[in-house]
Amino acid sequence: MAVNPYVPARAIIEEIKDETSDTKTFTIRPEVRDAKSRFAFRPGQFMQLTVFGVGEAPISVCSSPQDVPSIQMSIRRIGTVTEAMHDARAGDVVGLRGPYGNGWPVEKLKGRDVVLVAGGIGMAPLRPLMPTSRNGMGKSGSTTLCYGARNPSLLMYRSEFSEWTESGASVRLTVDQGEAGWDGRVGVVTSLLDDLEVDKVNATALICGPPVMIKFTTRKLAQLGYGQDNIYASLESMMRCGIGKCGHCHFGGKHVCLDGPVFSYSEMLGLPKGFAPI
Amino acid sequence: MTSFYITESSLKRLVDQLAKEQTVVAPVREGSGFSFKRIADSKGLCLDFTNSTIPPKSVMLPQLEELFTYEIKSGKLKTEGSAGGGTVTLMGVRPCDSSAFSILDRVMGGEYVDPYYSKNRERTLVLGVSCTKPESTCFCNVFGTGPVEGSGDDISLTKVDSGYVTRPKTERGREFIKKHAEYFREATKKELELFERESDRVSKSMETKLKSEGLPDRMSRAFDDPYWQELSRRCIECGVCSFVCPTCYCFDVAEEVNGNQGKRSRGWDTCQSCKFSKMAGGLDPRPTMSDRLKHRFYHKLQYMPVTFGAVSCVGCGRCVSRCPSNVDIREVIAKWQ
Repeated sequence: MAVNPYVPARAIIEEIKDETSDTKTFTIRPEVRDAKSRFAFRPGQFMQLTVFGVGEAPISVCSSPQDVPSIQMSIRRIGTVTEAMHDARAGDVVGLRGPYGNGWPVEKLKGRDVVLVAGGIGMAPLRPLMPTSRNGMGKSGSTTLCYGARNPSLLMYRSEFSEWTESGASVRLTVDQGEAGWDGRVGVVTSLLDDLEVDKVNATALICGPPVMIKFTTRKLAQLGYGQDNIYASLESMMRCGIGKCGHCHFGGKHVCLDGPVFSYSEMLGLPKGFAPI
Repeated sequence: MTSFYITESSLKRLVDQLAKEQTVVAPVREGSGFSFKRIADSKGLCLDFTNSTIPPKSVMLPQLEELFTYEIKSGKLKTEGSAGGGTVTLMGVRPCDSSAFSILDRVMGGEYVDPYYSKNRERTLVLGVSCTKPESTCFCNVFGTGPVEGSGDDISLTKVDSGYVTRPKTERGREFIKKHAEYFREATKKELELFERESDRVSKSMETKLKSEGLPDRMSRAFDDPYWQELSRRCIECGVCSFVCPTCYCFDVAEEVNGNQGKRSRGWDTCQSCKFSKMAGGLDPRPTMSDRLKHRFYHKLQYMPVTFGAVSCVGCGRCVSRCPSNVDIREVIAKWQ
């Protein structure tokens, strides 16, 4: 049998960091020697993560493609596999397959103003696009992050905000509910979009968050004058295989695993309701 | 293309010989219906049937299939796949079920090839048999997937007199006939005339006059029609339509644990289940029965043509005759044709 796309490669959990009350960030190193070629990925792609003895789940990669061979995944405790990951310890063996999906349209961002809109754990796949001291975006346009969470303690990667800002990004935060010590904005993430200093005609917006957030954000951006082809969202779906066979994510002639998870707003408008939260 | 002829008695002798050398899967009578089973000789073989209860897709995509086994602690792979070696002759496949293989080939091929399906497909010779008496629920004529010679056949047999006009359709089929030349002879001109006449007779005996042209386009504009809501009132979400469907390929994956040994398997799934599209945390793009029933018809008649260039209904009629609450895909086609 040639390379079997269903069989995961072994990988070691190197480090586990508590990100928020329900989310941990795992640094995972694939054991494969030629990991660079096998697990090279683009921002916005996902991998199938196996907890041996439990099962498999699609998880987006939240580290930078330059940081291979190890990759990072921020995982919220929400189902069987993620629950098991939260019980895992550094040194444990997991399985990886992938990367899968199209990822963000990175090549189309050059020279454009980039607006990243994240809701909750939706920040994870957008994180590799944030400029850092090692990884500037290397292009002329501005980077603006609009990031909302239910409450301040659910904002992920807080320790990295200052580095993103120092590397040239504008970081705007909002929460649905404030708490003691929060003097930032309270309100939905779309309220951050009104007064951005970006050239809307020359801007591309990338969105990841819960369906209701994607729905109102795409709408709002379109109203503000962003082009339908320059608004992208990363969608979620139940899936088993990640390679277009199991049928679970096949809707409207598209596979979320192969054609997505990133879709432009104009693509989403052409899909049946229920597939895209618009 | 050379056409051959095999008499009924030669076919029986051929089956007897094949069954000694390799796996032969063929329709056998079981209870009040027919099943595809491994046979030891030609005695149980029955080609006088219209539809088996479960389609022979199970030979290519078993209902339950081991993907691999592993050690849980180390994550080390132990075995890969349960499909045994050796060649298989799958005989007595009706044109609808054979044409379904051509559709499954599109799904299981492509950018990522499904190694389990393709291994089964490669090791299996499909010996199709044209229909002689379509049932009232049959409508393969609507999609051109029958009733004579299915597109997934390696060799097609069509009953003429007391034997079969035999037409090889693939290189593998031609090789097979060459290898077993003593059982076949070239078809006579008269037998070929009878073949044409028989093909014509069977085709004309199909009752359904539905049309499939333009169906995907019209359905793409009908997504919000109240029709789907209305139709779903009948559905009880049992999923039998998927399990008896020769083109339904969706699968679920499950983990089995025994001490430090783990096994990952896949099994037929149905989009009619309320768990099919539900994500961890409870989000579900198709939360109602109406969403799910509509999805089944859209998947077959609209999404599959867009993604894979083929309607994924072959008109076998199994879902029509098996549905306990009278949901009928022919009604759906008639509504939007």
